[in-house]
Amino acid sequence: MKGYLGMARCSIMANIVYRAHFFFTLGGTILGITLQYFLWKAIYGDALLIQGMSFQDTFLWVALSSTIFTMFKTYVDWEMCFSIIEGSITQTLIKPTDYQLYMLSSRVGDLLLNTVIIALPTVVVLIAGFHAAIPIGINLLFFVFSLILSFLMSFTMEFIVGLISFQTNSIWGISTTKDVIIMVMSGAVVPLAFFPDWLRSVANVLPFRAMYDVPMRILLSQNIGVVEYVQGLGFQIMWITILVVLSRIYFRQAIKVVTVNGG
Amino acid sequence: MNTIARYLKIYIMVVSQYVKSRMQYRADFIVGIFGMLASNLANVVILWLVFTNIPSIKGWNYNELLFFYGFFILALTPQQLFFDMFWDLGHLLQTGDFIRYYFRPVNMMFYFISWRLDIKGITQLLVGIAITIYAAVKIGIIWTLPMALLLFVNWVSASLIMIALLVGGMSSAFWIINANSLTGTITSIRDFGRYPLDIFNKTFRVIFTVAAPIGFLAYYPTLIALRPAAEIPLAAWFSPVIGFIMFFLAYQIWRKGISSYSGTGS
Amino acid sequence: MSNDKQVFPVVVKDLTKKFKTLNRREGLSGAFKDLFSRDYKTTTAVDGISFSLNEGEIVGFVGPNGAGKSTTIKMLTGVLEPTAGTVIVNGLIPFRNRAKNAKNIGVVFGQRTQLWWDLPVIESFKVLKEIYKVPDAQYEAAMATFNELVNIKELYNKQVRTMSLGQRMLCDIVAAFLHNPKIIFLDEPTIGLDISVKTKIRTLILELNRLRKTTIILTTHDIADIEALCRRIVIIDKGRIIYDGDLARVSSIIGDFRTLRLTFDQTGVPDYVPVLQKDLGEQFPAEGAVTVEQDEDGWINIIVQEDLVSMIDVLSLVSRNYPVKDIKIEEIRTEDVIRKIYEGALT
Repeated sequence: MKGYLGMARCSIMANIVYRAHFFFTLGGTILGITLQYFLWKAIYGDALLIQGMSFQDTFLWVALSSTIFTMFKTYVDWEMCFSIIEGSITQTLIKPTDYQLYMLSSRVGDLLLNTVIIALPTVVVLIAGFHAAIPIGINLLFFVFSLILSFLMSFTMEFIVGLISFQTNSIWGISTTKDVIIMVMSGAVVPLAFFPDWLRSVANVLPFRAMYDVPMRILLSQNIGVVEYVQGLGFQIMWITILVVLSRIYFRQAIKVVTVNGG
Repeated sequence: MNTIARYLKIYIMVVSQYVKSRMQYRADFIVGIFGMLASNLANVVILWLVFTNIPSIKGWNYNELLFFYGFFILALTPQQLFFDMFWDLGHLLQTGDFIRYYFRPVNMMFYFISWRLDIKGITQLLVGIAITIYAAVKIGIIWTLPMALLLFVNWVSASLIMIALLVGGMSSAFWIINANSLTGTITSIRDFGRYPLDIFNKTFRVIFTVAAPIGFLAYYPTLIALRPAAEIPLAAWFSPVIGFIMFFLAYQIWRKGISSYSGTGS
Repeated sequence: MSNDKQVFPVVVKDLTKKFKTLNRREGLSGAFKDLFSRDYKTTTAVDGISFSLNEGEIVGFVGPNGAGKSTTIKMLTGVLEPTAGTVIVNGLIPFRNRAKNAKNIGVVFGQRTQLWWDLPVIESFKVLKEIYKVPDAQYEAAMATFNELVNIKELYNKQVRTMSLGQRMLCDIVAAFLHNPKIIFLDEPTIGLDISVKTKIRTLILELNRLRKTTIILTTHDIADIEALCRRIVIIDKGRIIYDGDLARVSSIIGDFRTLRLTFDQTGVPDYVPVLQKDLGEQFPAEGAVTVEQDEDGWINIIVQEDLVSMIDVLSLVSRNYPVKDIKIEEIRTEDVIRKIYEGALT
């Protein structure tokens, strides 16, 4: 455990030393939110409600989702692809640690860093600059749990994409496809409420809504209670379990390809 | 003229060799095309999703926005195809490998970009053409030769602005150590150009017209095809020149950067 | 009548280069403070050096890491602008005429290839031919020479990516000589290679230098390279030239040194080096008079400064008190001379 914590600390330090990372990442996020503000304002025009959501509802939803999306991006998939191409993966596999856990713990530092330098300032800007009203209550507690689960899901999906790259030796295309599918089908870019009924039913059975739709509803929906919170968390846990199991099985297969090809 | 011919010959030699060697990686090629298609299609799907709920955004209907999007990705294509090396600039500067571009008797930027051609950019070109033509037909644009020519020139200019944003933006890696986050910022700024300036308030519209030419990425250039001449704002007629100015400025930043780089090691 | 036109391919006068770097602070909180810091310091990498090279000369540039060799080469090749002083290469100021200067120089970095990674190397050569506007006849003749010397034809269709380090280095050197430049800069050309490849490369360089009278600047940590290739050596430390002259005479400038090389009967083996050092240090206390080291080949070297101590005295003490099996007395190795120079033997 100590080893994993040490790595987290190193990762934070390595990032802070480069001063520009702070300014640029935060700047980029705020720019994105500004764009979404204007876009949705224009979409709403004079309408007060669309599909039961007000402009403030939708804007907050979309702004938070995209901020979380940026926060969650750890590029584990990219790193895995490069480690195969450059052969450095053998060094990591030799270590007496579980590869997936090792990757995860190397990211925790980044995640905490991103929370501080991206998420917190963004929330401040949202509240102060855009007059966002985030309901405060027991939902916050469940929201935090939900977010952690979302991160695990996001990480596992990145990991699976990384495993795919072991065979294709190519990462941009699969990673982009994954991102795009998640962003659309999770309701992050356009809330699921806006979907035509048939597409919404498709989205409901897919795992992606567990990543953004669930935590967003927990945080922002006024008229749901603890029962629904727990249901949401349960839905997330179910999908995480499925994905993690898939990833473990796939890992064992993918590793065989690596060792057979030598390196 | 002689120099251009020579550079063209060198470029074709280098790039055709590069493409030949990349073609060996079938999976990478296919995956790349797939990702490109997915990304472009997703944007269309998002647009469509929004429009199942509303009829127009600030006077722009679905097909007009589709045309807008098509033009935007067409303007993006030259940058994507030819200037792909720039995304790696930060990394090359950090490892010191960038130094290899200094030692040839040809223009450094030319030599630098000749090392890679992003083949999947051709996918984007085809998708862009398809979307633009489809939308143009749906809108029922009445084409005249002057308008078509002007649109073409505007496309060239918009492409130059796209390139200038990348070159100028990434060149700051010469002075800033960790350029990883830089790429995200460049994309974020560029994204403001994905939508008509009409959605922004007055302040931003002015900024994106006068200070940062975001409006010239697609908004002003496409107005000549989408609006009757009387309704086109004055600024739109400047579209052809802005690109060349921006590229010139970006090139100066690049030149400053290469003369200040000191490599690694001592 | 005397012609004032420059005849030296390289002339450097009072060349200086200073850099501004941020003073970084330690630890996590220090790193945070650095985000807002404006505290810079100026380091002088090259401090007013002067030298000129003769046509066809092979010169070795030697110095510890951080000495300023690399910075000097970068100013010679037009990458860096000098802070002060002048540098003229082939009659041009390199920084102001980067592309023009590039026509007449070739550069090889041991660690980094300049060839196209994924292409068969013959394609790299063809593109370079085009870039440097090498006429067909000259190109064919050059390739014929390279073939004769190192059988480069064998490698034509191999992708650079799949080559061994030695093969790649040969190709990089061939590529540098392809357009017959007047000056070639070689930075660590034999690093990481085994001895047979090193020899091959040294022969290639010597032959090409002999045939074409190319001026060659060699920066390296490998003293064997220097001894094989250079007659002249320039030693740089802390941005200054400490020695510029014949390789053969470099040992003479630090004093009179010879090396006593020994092996011992290994029964009941202690580590002789610290024991000897202590013992000899007590007997011959003058600073730097006697230095003891273990050599890679198993011999122990005792470097004796004969201005201070007599070799005979050292030899008789050692042979009296230690089970010596075999001895050799040699001139001090160039490597050790240079190390002593780094350690301040000249100051």
